[in-house]
Order: sequence, then structure tokens, then C-alpha cells
Amino acid sequence: MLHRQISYAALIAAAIVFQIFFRFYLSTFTLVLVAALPVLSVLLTLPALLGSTLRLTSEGQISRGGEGHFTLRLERKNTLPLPPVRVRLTWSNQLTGERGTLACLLRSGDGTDQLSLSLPAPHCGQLVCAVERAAACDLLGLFPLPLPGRAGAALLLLPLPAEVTLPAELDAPRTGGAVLRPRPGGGPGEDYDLREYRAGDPLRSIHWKLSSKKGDLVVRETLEPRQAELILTYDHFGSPEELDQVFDRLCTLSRLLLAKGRSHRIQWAAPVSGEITDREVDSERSLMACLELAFSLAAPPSGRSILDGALKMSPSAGLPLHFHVTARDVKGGRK
Amino acid sequence: MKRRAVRPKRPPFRPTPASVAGGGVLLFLCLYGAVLSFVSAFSARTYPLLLAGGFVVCTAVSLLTWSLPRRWWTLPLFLVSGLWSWGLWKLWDWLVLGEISLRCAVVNTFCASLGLDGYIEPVAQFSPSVWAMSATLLLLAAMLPLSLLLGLAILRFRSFWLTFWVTFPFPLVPICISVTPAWVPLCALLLVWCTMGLTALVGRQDPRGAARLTLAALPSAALLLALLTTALPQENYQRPQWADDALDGFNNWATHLDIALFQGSGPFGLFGGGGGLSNADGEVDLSHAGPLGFSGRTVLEVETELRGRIYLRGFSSAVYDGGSWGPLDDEEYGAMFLEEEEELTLPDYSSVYYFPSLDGWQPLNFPALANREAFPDKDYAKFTVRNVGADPGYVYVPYHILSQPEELGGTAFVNDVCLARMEDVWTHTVYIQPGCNPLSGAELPAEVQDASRNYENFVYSSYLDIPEECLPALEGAIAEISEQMLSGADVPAYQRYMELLTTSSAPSWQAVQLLMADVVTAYLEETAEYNPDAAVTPEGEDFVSYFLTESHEGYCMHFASAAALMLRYLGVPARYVAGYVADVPSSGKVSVPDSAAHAWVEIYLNGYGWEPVEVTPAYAGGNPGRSSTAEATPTPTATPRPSATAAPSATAAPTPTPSQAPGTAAEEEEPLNPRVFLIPLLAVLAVLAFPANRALGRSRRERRFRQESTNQAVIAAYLYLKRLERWGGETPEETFALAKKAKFSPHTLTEVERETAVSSARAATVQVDKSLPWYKRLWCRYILGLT
Repeated sequence: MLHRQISYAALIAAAIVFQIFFRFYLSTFTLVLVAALPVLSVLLTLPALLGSTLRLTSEGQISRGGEGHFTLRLERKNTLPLPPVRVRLTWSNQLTGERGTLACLLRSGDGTDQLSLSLPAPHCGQLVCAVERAAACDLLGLFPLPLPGRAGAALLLLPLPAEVTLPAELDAPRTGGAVLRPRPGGGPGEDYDLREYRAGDPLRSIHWKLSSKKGDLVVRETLEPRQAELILTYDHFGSPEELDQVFDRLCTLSRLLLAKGRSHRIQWAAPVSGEITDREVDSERSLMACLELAFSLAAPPSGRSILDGALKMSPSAGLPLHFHVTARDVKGGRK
Repeated sequence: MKRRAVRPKRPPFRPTPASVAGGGVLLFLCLYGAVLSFVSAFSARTYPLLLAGGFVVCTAVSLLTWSLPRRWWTLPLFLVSGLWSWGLWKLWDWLVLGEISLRCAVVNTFCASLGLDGYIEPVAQFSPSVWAMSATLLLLAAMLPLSLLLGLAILRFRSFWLTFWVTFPFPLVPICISVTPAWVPLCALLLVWCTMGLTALVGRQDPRGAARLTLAALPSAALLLALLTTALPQENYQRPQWADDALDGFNNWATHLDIALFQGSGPFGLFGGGGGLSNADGEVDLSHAGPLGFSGRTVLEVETELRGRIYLRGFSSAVYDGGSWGPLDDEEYGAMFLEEEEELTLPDYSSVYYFPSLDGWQPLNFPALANREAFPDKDYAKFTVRNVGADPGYVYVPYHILSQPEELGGTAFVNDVCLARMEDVWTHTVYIQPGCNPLSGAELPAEVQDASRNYENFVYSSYLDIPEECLPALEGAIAEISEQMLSGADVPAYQRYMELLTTSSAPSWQAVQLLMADVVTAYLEETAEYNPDAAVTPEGEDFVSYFLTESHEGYCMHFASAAALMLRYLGVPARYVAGYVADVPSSGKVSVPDSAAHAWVEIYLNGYGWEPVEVTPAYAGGNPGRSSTAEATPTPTATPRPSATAAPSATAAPTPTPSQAPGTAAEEEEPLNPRVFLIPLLAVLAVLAFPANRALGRSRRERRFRQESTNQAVIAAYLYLKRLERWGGETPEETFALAKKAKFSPHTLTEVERETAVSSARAATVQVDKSLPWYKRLWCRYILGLT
């Protein structure tokens, strides 16, 4: 564009010199015409410009360590040609804070109206790419005219599988991580607990023999094994490499649990405020949603650990199984 | 980060209806604009309808030729060039006449515009219709190759710059000599340039889109041109003031640059610098004084307390030699203007008279000194002048300078001739004694009396000379005045002079001298006509004699020269003066244009000094010697303004050209007829075009086979084999497989595979060439360039 602007400046200068040295009508006419040409150029560019939009798409999600691919496409609604569109893109990993810019040129008509962008994806996170500025010059190449609308796309950079051993409490074939809870409605059962009678208890649940011994009504409450609430936590701060390890373990552990049919919760604390985010994970989809949320939040090098505060627990769930995932291991068990 | 553009191979050019329509319109407008700009600018006589038909035919031919695929170009080009050559052969005589007609039109337009003396007209006597037809045919003949070139630029290359540089010279040449071509053809060219300029950017990336854009840009640009033409009507055109100011500034800058570089102490200066005086030779060349011409630039900027019309004296000339005015030799001034120490070292003078020193007094101060002596309380006037473009040798000042030699800064008196400018000083201030009058009775101070008397002797010794050559003319003029006086002619100046002679009281000699000047002025006004376009005095003729006896027309240079000599003949010391006339408005500031240059006469009045006299009729009523500080309405400038600096002369006498009618006996005398070599040359070129086409095709083919990408080379070999199939060639299965591999496989083919495909292509070439009948073989070889 610069050389065209210089050329136009030279043309204007030539027209002025012509006006000065040529005393007749033609010189003034030429000068006015040269001055009016950019207006005509802009007017002729507008229909093509207003009928053009930029679309940015991504692959959705990839594993970290590869390259993230975005596709930028110039979509046209009319047949008038559009001068080259200069696009400035910004990209950032919302988790790690890595960012950068990228400039490219799209031309309609010669097949370069589509551009494939490859961005580095060494760490976990959400890679967001957005069109910061897109402008096509006018037909004379003098003025940048902005394209209407803004385009953007996101790409999840997922953790890699890690070698994680399921804790013994969770790995037992039947009762791993299970606790005995009263069976609603009672009924027969091998395990039971004794307690004082409460109004409303059925008569058949009263342990008459023991009641006679104690002189007070004792009720036999049938128990059944129920799985404990499982909470996985991690600290949402650290270096990108540490976070990669954390998410690798967390994601692997979560998938192992899902494979065993164990729904669980993933919790982390906001690095600055300490506010706890709690997400239920009962499927791969909910795990992705959880990761998307986690990856969209910036993780500073240091912050408040979730272990410094209290976990979010269901009041009726009893004691949960809590595992804290770090870059090196998985700690925890029944509290 | 990386980015990867998906850039498919650019599709080959195929004309679309939009590209043909847009290109056709552009091509037609180009031809129309270029040819008619030329024709209209040089006022060539042609048949417009024939030209219009030529535009259409040439556009169609070019459009058809360049819309064909490349391999089909040879045939139409050959046909067109053959027809064109045949046409040249058959119409050669007409074309020669056309060349004469157009040459005369061009040369005469140049002469008329530049004021040159070189008009020509054809010797051969034909009717205007013959000349018009011949010029039309020549233009049509030239139009065909022009249309092919423009078609190539517009349709195939889509090149704005090639189109521009091919068409630009047509209007440029007349514009360079200040001739504007007809408006409609000019607008056609502007329309083409605008449209191609607007589509150039997208044309490279999207030819088809550019073709559609052309169809949209053409009417838009035409609308813009129409709007501008309506908004800026030619009839009411007024050149912007800023352009005039800029032109003045440029001219002045160029003048100063020229002086700074080539004169004085500049890097290329030929004369000494360092505070010396500029070159002020006091020469006036009369022999080249032809029609006047001015640029209108400002030459002097004046700020003064004087008002009304003032005469700014540059220099005076004393010696007339029949073709010029010049100064006296320094030796003739004796010791009048020398310093005392210089006087002691005077060499022996050969002149009869020796004129002693004026003791530092300057004759140009005499009137002001006398008036100051008589009216000591009168206010003097300040006068500041800046030389921005006038002759740099002089300081232009009004009459009656009060500033004496030792009081001047940046300037100095040069004898009694002028004030010379000091190097590097462009603004000067002097003081004027306004209201001096030779008949006021004011006398010089006593201390100046001796100097005045000495100078008076010198004046009568030096300012009465007349060359013998012009004596008869002067005698005739004076005799005519006497006759008219005696016959009682109704001329007020004559009558006043007769009354003065018959009055009983003896008139003062000063009054008689002034009246003589009036008589001479009246005589010149009666017998000669003011004409700023007066022709140059013929070579060998005395300037004044020719004016008084032959032409009886001229401008200030003629009138002032004649009046000075007539006054000398009557015994009145007189000299020629050059300078400017300025009309100072009430603001006291005025820019003096070069058109205000003027010449007049000074006569010497005893006891008073030099008194300017206006002798040019166009300036009648002006009184150079009167200047006032009173608020006065500026005197309207007489039109047209004469000048002492004349433009190059031109005579309107047409000069015959050496051309002659075709078919005359003198044909053998022509040194070389271009037809003799032009037609054979074209024939040879046409014949050579065929092998050249074959060689070009072969070279292009080999280049494709040897390109860096083996895959592309194999594909090229396969495509070539497919073309050969139409002529009996066969494509080996192996080559077909290699081509598929090259096209669709991600692998890069090896050099061996390339060689296999290329060898099969070459073998097929030989086989096809041998198997074809002779006429098909020639066609394949030389027209298609296939084998």
C-alpha cells in the first residue's frame, strides 16, 4: 500500500506542477480529477467490501504438544472483486497466558481467499485466536477500509495420558471406596446398626431382645454399602510445565474413574480469591466441559491452594474421598 | 507460528463476455482518444466518419486476435500484417501525401504556438479533400498496429502502465506546446486511464473479477468526468491565483538560482564576487525586437510612499548604432566620475575634450537637489524595491533621487547611466524628492553649479550623436513636421510650438526643449501606430529608419529610439531609457509584473538635469517625471503593455517544403524512397515469423520439460502428448501412469521417471512429424509450433 500511496502522492505532485506550468483549463481539470479519484475508488470498493465476511474456524480440540490449526476464510456474497484483505490476528493460551500476533493477506479471486494457520500448542490450555483487525484497501490501494464484523475461534489443548495408579481405596473390585449407609425403607440385610427408637420407626425393626435387656427401645437399622463422594482437587497455579503434569494426571485419573463408573467432582480454588470452583464429572463430555472451564481461567505462577480452605461437600453425602492431584503424584484418601 | 496459503494454480486466461465487452470499450476509447487528440490538437484535416469506421474495425480486429488462445495468434497476425502490407503497397502515394499533410499541420501548429518562423505548406497543389483523404488514410494505416499494441496491453497483459505510455504521448506533445486537444477525445483517454487505474490492483489476482469491475468502473468514471466538466465550465475558467503565485515564485527562484550559480561569486560564476557590482552593461538589442511576449511573473516588489503611476528607471543608453543602444565608453566620461586619487593616475586621453571631476556630485541627483534647495521643508519619500526577477544588473528606482552616492547602500551609481546592484543585495531603499518640475524655477545649490556646468558640456558633447545611416529618415521626419506646422495642422503640440515661436517674450530654453519633445511625440503618434506584435526589423535595415519610413508601427522600443534620435537631430540632448512602469495603489505596495517593462526618453535640460519624456502613444498622458505622495487613484494601465524585452521573433511567411506531387518526373531525384526497403523488410519479417514461432514453441516446451519440479515436468509431457493425439500421436501407458502418479501421489517423481516421460514425448513428436502429410506438417510446425 505504501508504494501506491507514494505513487499517488507523485501523481498529485505532477498534477500540481501541471497546474502551475500549464495555464489552461485542462490543468485545473486534471488536478480536480486526480483529487476526486480516491473518492470514486472508495465508492467502487464499498459494494464488494460490504458483501464480504471473515470466518475463522478451528479443529475444536487437540492433545498438547502438537500444532493448533485454524482456518481463516474470506466469504463473498457478490461477484465484484475485492482488493487484498490485510488481516491481523491475535492468539493466546488463556491458561498459560502465552500470546502472539499474526498478519496475513487474503486475496479473493486467485484462490488465496483461505488461509490455514498453525499455532504452537506445547501446553495445555484453551488457544483462542481472533481477528483483531481486517481491512481491504480501496481499488487504488490508498486507504484501508475495515471489513465488517469480527471473527474468532477457540481450540482446547488437552492433556496427554499419564501413568497414574488408581488408589487402593478406589481400586477394590466391589467395595473400593464404599461406606455403609442405612437402607431407606429398611428390609433384610447382613449389615445393620443399632440405635434408639424414633417415632415412626416400624415395629418390626425393633430389636426386642436387646430392648428388653436395656429396658429401652432399640431399633435395628439395616445398612447397605454405598460409594463415598469422590473429590479430585488441584491447584490452579504453577508453571505451564507443572500445570501440564497436573492436568495430565487429573485427566487420566478422571478418565480411570469414569471407566470404573465412578462419577466424581473436580474442584479447584481461584488462585487470587480462593473461591472454589466445583464441577461434577460423570461423563467424558462433562470432563471436557470442566477442562474447558479450567483452561479458560488464567493460571498464575503462584496462588492460593485449595488445601488451604474447605472443600465443597454435599451435606448428606457423608465423608468424601478426597484426592489432591499435583505435578508429581496423587495424594489423599478418606478424611 | 506458520501460515500456509492455499494457492491453486492460476487458471489460464479465457475470455469471458465481460472481459471482451470491457476490453473492447476500453480499446475503442483508447484509439478514439489517442488519434483524435492528435488530429484535433494539430488541426489536421481528416474525414471523421472514415476515422470512426477505422476505430470500429481496428478494435474488432484487435479484439478478435487477442481473444484467441495463444497458439492461434500467428494466423490472424499474419493475415492482418499481410493485408496491412498490401494496403501500404497499394496506397503508398496517398500515404506520402498524408505524411506531407500531417507534417505541415504539426509544424505549423508548433510554429504558431511557439512563435517560430518556420511555417510550411505543401508544394503540390491538390484540393483540400485530397489532403484530408490522404491524411485520413495515413492515420488509418497507423491505427492498425496501434490497435494491436493497445489490444495486447489491455486484453492480454491488462497493463495500465503499458496502455498509459502508449497513449500518453498523443496528448502530451501538443500540451507541451500549450495546445489543448479537443475535449471529448481527451476525456476518452482520461476515462480509459481512470478505469484501468481503478482495476489494476485487482486485475492481477482476479482477471475475471477485474473484467466485471471494468464494466462497473467505466460508467462511474464517465459520470465523474461528466460531473467535473459540468461543475468546472470551461467558459468561466479562471486560473487559480495560487498557481500564478507559484509560477512567479518558481520563475524568481530560477532567476536567482541562475544568478547565484552562474554569476558573481557563485560556484560557476564568471565574474568576480565579494561585494562587487553586478554586470550592468546598458545594452539594448533592437535587431531582434519582434512581437512581445510575457509570462506575467513578478519582477519587482515595491513599497513606497509615492502613489499613482511611477516610472522605475533601470538604465539609459547613449550610443545608437542602427541595431542597438549601448553605453558610452568609460574613457569618454573623462574624470567626471572618478575619485580624486584615480584622477591623478589618468592615462593620456585621446579625446578632444577632457571633462574634469564632478567632485562627487551625481547628475541623476540634480533635479532633486535643486528642488530641495528651493523647498527645503518639503517631505521626501522613501522608496524600497526588491528585485525578484528583473534584470539583476540594475536597481530600478523612480526619478529625482535624493540619496547621494555616499548615502547609498547595496548599490552604486555607474557614471550617469544607472544604479548598479551590489552582489548578494536584492532589496534597496532610496529617498525621493517628489514634485520636481523643470519649469518651477528651482536652481541647484551653489556648490553643485560647477559640477552641473561641467556635466552640461559633457552632455552636449556626447548625447547629440546620430549615425549617418538614419539621417535621411530623420531629415524627412523633421521636414514633415515643419510642413505640417506651416500648413497649420490641427495638432495641439504643433500649435503650442508655433505660438511659442511667435510670442514676443523670449521663452526659456528648457520650455522650448520640452515643447520640442511634445512635438516629436505628437508627430510619432500621428504617423506611427502602436503594435505590440510588430515584426522584427529586416536584417540590414536601420531600426529607426525602417520604423519612420517603412513600417510605421511598433512599440515603446521603436518610439523611444526614434524620438531620442529626432530630438538629437533638433539639438536636444536625449537618450534611451529602459525600466518599468508601476501603478502604486493606496496601500503603497505593488508587485510589478514583467509585462510592465517599458522604454522612454530622457532629455537634458540645462540647469535642471535629465527629464524623462513619454513618447509611446499607448502610454499617452503619463508623465514619467512627476511623482507624488498624495493619495491618488492609480492610472489604468494601457493595454497591451509594451516591453523592452522582446520574445523571439516569428514571421508568418510560409516556407515551401521540398515535397512534391507523386508521379512527377522528379521522382528519381529523391534520395531514398522508404517503400523500397520497408515492404521487403516487412515481407522478410513475416517470413521469419514462422520459424520464429516454431522455435519459440520448442523452447517453451523444453523449458517445461526441464523445470525444477519433476512432477510438473511429467504432467507437461503428458499434456503435450495429449495434444499430439489429435494429429496421430500416441500416449504410452507408462507415461499416463507416471502422469497420474505425478498429479495425485504425494511422492516426488525421480529424474529417471521424468526422463522416461520426456523421451516418450520427444519420440511422439518425431513420429507425428513424419506421419503427417506435408500441409499438416507445415501447419503443425510453423503455425501451431507443435512439432
